[in-house]
Amino acid sequence: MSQSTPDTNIDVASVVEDVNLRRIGHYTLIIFFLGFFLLPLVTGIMTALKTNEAIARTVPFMPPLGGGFTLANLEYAFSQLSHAFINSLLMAIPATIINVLLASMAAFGLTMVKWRGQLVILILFLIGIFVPYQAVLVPLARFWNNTFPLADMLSPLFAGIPLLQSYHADLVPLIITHVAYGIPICMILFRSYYQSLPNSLVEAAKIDGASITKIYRRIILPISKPMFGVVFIYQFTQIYNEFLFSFTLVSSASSPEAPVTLIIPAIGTSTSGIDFGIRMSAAFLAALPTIILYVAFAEQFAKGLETESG
Amino acid sequence: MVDNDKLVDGIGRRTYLGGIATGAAAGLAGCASGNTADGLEVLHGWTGGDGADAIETLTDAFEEEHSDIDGTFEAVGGDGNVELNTSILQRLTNENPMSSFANWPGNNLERYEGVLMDLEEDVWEAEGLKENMQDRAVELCTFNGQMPAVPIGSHRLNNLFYNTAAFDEAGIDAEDLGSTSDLLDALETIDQDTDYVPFAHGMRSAFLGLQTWVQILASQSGVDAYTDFIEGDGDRDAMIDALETLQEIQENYITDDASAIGYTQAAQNLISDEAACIHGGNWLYGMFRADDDFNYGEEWDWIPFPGTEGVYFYHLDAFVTPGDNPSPEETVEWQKFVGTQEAQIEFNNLKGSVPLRTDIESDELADFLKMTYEDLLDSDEYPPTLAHGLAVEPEQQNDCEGAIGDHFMDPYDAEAAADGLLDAVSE
Amino acid sequence: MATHDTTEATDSTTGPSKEVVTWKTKLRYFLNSDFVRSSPYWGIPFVLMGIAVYGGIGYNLAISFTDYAGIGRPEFSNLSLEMYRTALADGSFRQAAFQNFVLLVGFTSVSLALGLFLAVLLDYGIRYKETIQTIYLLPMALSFVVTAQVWLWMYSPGNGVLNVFVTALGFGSIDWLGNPRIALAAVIFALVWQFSGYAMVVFLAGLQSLPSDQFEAAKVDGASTAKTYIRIIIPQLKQASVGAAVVLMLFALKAFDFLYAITGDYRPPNGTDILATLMVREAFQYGQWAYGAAIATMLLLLSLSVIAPYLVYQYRQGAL
Repeated sequence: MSQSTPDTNIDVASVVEDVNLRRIGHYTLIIFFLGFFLLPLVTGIMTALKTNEAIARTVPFMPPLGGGFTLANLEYAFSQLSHAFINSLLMAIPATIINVLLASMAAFGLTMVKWRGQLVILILFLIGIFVPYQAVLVPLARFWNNTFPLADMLSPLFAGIPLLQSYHADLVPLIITHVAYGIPICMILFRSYYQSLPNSLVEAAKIDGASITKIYRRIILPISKPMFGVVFIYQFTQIYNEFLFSFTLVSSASSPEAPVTLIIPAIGTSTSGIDFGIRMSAAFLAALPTIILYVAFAEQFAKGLETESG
Repeated sequence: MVDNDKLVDGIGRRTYLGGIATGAAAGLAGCASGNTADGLEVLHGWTGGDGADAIETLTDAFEEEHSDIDGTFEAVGGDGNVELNTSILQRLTNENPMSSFANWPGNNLERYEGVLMDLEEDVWEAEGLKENMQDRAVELCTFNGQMPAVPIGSHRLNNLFYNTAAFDEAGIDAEDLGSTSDLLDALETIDQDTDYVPFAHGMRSAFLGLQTWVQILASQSGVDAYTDFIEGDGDRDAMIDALETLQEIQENYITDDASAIGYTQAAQNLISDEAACIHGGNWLYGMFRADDDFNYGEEWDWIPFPGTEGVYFYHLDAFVTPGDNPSPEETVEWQKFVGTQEAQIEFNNLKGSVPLRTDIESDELADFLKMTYEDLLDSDEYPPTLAHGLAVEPEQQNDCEGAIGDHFMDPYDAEAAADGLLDAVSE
Repeated sequence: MATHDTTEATDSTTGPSKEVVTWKTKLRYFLNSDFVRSSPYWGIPFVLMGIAVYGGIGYNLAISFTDYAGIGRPEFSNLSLEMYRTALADGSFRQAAFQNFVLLVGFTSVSLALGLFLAVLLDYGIRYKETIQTIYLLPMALSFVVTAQVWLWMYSPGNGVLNVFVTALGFGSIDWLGNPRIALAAVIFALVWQFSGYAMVVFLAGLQSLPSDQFEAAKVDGASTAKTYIRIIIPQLKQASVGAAVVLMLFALKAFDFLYAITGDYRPPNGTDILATLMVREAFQYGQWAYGAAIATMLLLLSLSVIAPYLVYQYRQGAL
């Protein structure tokens, strides 16, 4: 959709001037917005690398110079968060895998196979995307704490598993919760992909007498590999970044099983206020896994978002 | 205070160096507290600074005396006990009580109605605490005919701490400040004649404004105006007058970043020689004493909040015991210990509060506390604090804070705030 | 649940002697129907999701009719609408609802407008388009919690970036988050920073799906680029706009994380309290479970009132 070719019947010189001016304006705007989106991030990173002295005396987004540079804040933040990183990954990775698998199955069952009444189920899934989590928080807390204290039941078992601690059992209800509430959006992502596949694919297999299970395993699974990547990245980011469920189900930010997001809002506060060097270091470290994922798979990430809006 | 920050950091770094071993220990502790009934488990909110030192001394002394008891003492959260209270509420709702927890007694116990353990016989009577504790504390630790709490220390709220250098420079004699209008004049003088910020004030939490308003109300219209208010019969005009005084202070004499800071940071302004005075509970003393270059009688001094001489605005910290207690015997031992002279002296000397026992040699206490302790025993009036759980029920206190938060944090609407406050206590 | 197959089976049978066979045939047809055979696939996720979402909503609704507060268990013997009445009469609830509305509308419309502008900017044939798009979208990879920390620092009354600019321009420093009159705008601005890239991606996809001959046609007419976009291209992005708007509104409804993380406290900066923060504060800080549940139900209704028209619209478009 580029329209850089000028019309031939206009005076060439004026067009060149016009195009140049426009181009300059255009790129100026683009660069302005690059600054708009990058400035807060650059400021955060620069602050993370500065001594308190330098934070107080220099412009926040300027790089630390000479004596103003320190890695102490990052080291301290990492020491505070290292446990939490393990918790976050222990929670997000299994939750994402189960989530993506179940969602793909659901999308398959509701897209590739046609039956009456499907729409009702589909709409129920769709609404599930749009339910604010507050609407289920009180029941959720009661369920996992009183009705079905799964974490307490599992904790002796977890104590016996090598490399895990008994408190990691507290992550299991969180994993199940994330899976349950993550299914609808992932299901829709898969569904839009399956809908774009040609009908003939499944029809031909059906005529050959393949069972539904065979169709899923032999045909759908292999060709949906790219979509698995998209949904996995999207959902991992969501779960890793999530705050409210952890906030509700983990007793406090000082609990050993607290994930990263729970700790960030309290880190680096002292009697003399917020230590922004520590706070920015912690925020940067917390964001690092998703930023790396995002930069490495920018295309898939964008694809996930495009599909999300239906 | 720098030292305190370092202390907190130091603990963090040690934990890190401890690596997996510490993690395992923490895990086991978490497991023990969450699921089993062995040993004593006490929750408190003193995560840093003077409070952390005080509780550490207290628990060390207890463990020395009772080496047979396996005690776990956990600090939860920070400012204003918010996280601690949430954590307690969650544990008690989940029918997973701890042995004991630090909290305010009095109306605040309403939160835990029906799930508290009575210590009247096993602790209060067994130790003769009723005779040795101040009557007011006995009363506040009695709830629904039971005695589920033992007091550990009392803070006085109506204090004005001032930076002597600032007052000298402005030519103000603190002893002359007998009313809020004197105070306003002094603040104006400081503003005009010196580079000091006249009044250090944190506005990040609404309770700070609420607390200051209470002092102003009592100062301008008498303690009765305040007690009438908490009983649901407030004089609206007097309340509005007090709000307007608060507004004048907040609009003219505080720092630019007040809305972003809490009281600890405001107090730092005093220590760092930037602000002239601050109102607050004498937990501020606990902060000041941690700084070797900021000493009582030299760099800072104290008067009762202007116009409240002879009044001791009463705050109380206590240890409370949940019913269905996981360790009834150990808990009783712990609570008995909390009530001893030794515990009360050791804890309060570091915390900046004063003991509730009436039989303590005041020489055992630090200079400033000695004076406060004498005031505790011999003041004319002892109104309970509003922002710290004693005066009204938790929900009403919450609504009072809401009234200030919604209508009195710039933009100021004194009428709406007064109505909000009256509404809050009328239910 | 009747399926097409079973209906046929019923039609083809007559007479009592065939009753047994019919019944068996029916069952066999039913068991062989796509509904049953595909059910293990959608059924398991559906049950899990159904319990979590609809079970949760139902239980929440039930609690909202009680007077459950503090420690103990909910008592379902005496149900009433008391909590809803209390909420509607309460000043802080109404204020939170109003601010929620402002946040919803302000955030969504600004994000959409900025997203559209950025999409057009990038659609217009430039170099390094992918890289630039990646950077514009970068804040989306962050969590609300991290964004809150970054902007807390940007807005810091002391040495924050915004005040560095403001004071450089000769104005006095502004307490962005501390002043209730501008705090909500400051929050909206930070959220726009995080999510306008999202709107951009959706619009870009929309733009790229349009046939390019429209540009050619417009060019032949001699219309300027701006006019081409405003008159011809943008009206065709209706579908994309609706989709993006709905998703943005949902982000706004989830702004709890952001507001909590700014103060690290149940009470967000003054002037930015919304239903989500009020609900969590009432329920989890004060133990007012029933009251919190009632607020949550109203928040759910608000959310459904956004989504229902969208679903109907999608259905009419045949997009479901």
